[in-house]
Amino acid sequence: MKKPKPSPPISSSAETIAHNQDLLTEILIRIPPKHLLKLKLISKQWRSLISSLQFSHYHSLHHQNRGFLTPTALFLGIGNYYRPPFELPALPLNPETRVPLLDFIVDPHFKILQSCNGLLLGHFYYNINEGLRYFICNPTTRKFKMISLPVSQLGSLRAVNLAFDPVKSPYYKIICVRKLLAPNKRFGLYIYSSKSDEWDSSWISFRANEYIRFDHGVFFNGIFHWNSNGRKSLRFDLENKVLKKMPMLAPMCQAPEDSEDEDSRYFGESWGHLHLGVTYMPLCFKFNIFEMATDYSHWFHKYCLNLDATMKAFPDLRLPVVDIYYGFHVLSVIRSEGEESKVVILVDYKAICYELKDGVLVNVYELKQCPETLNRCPLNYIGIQVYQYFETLSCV
Amino acid sequence: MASTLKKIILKSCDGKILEVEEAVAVQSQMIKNMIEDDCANEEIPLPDITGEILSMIIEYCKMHVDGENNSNNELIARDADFITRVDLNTLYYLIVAANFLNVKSLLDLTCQRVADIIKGKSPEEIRLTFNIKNDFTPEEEEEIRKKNAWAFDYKD
Repeated sequence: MKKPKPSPPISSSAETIAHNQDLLTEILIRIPPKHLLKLKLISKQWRSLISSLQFSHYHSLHHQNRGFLTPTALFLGIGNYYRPPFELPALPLNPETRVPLLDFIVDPHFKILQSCNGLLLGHFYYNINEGLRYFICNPTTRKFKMISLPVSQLGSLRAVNLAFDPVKSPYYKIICVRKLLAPNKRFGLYIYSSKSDEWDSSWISFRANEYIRFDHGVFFNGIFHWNSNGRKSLRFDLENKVLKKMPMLAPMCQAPEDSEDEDSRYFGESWGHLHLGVTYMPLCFKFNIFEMATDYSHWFHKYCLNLDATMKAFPDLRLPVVDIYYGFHVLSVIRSEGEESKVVILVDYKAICYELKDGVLVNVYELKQCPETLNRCPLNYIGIQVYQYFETLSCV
Repeated sequence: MASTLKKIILKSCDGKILEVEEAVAVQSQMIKNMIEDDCANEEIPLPDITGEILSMIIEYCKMHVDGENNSNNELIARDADFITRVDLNTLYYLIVAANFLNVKSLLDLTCQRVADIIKGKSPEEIRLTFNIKNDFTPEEEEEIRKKNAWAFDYKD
């Protein structure tokens, strides 16, 4: 008996899928970014799909975990300006991670200022004709875009910060903070959106203390958080355009017994948690990590850590030597599900990553292999900044 | 009580009639919507789905309804067992059908399987599998390779 044929006849289901944008998207969002870059070779249709803004958004949505993406490495920014071959040392957080070079950035004399969920904000060395030129880039896709600042001549430029949350939107925003000449303590805040590719016509005027570090902004959950050298700081709700207060930690809060002063403070974010990592003087291998309460009322003591056991893996690093020359500093706290949270510290030209739970060593980056670092003695936290690397397809 | 025993009648493109319990049929969001709109009282024709594919989808949905009380790990193991029994050609028909019927978990499972297969293939093999014409000139191809050299440089 002759079977009735389906109508319309499908010559090949594989062909149907390959030419159906929705189904192809469903399949390709499951493939890691690095692999997708290779699939751009398949055809023009595949290339344009993989490069599209919408696809990058679906891809981030698929790979998010509880609303957050997971960094795979840390860029270690040494000193102020970098030279060719454009290689920022990188500390992989997983054994299989590979990190791209930044050699696509048109001018080698650049500095990275902030990393935000897959995009980097940076600027080029000051140039008398062009001033400070800012850019946004994605190291994974090697896409790069110059950002011109608002034309305002009011006061002086204090900071430029990036806001990007690819799980919520494929577009990013940039804010620019200027210190007004008068009245005293007044600042102006300008907002740029990549969606309109324009700065808002209106700007926000606000009062703040000089000691707030607008140049050290941390963005997550729709809010900028600024570090501060004083007891108070500020946060800025970007959606509602509202500035609110944020307390800072009292000096020497829960400090180890024998310590006399704080040595350094790390201020950063991971998985929706705002952290302060504090080390102490005279040097001991005990340090504290505090976390901001969700209602922003106070910092609570999250981890009390002791590096003594981890340091046994580095017999050359004896306390007195370290104390005189280097000190030690928290570079990053990386939270993740279960018990896999990690902390990265800097001690004697080594960036050491280990697991918070049991002190097991994950990875070490020997900074002495980078010639730039040897010009810096002591190599302290002022000379090194850490930027999380997220492998994403996000568009600039 | 009556509603759980209600049968939904599905008709494949090659004329096969399948009677399915409502609890199983509503794993398909499309059929669920039809039932809610009171459009599922008569036989539902499925123009692009063969009887063979439809039976597999019903088997899958039944497995999920029966396994509702099982642990997550057991379901994952059953899914894995189901999907590894499917050959590549059938897999594509399943995706098209799961998409049409809107069976979310089956679409996830089949798409993940194809994604895993793609990861292990060279560009030429992928083009062959999907019957895609390479519409790049050698120069354009070289440009893409050069631009993404860091991703091409090593195998994973």
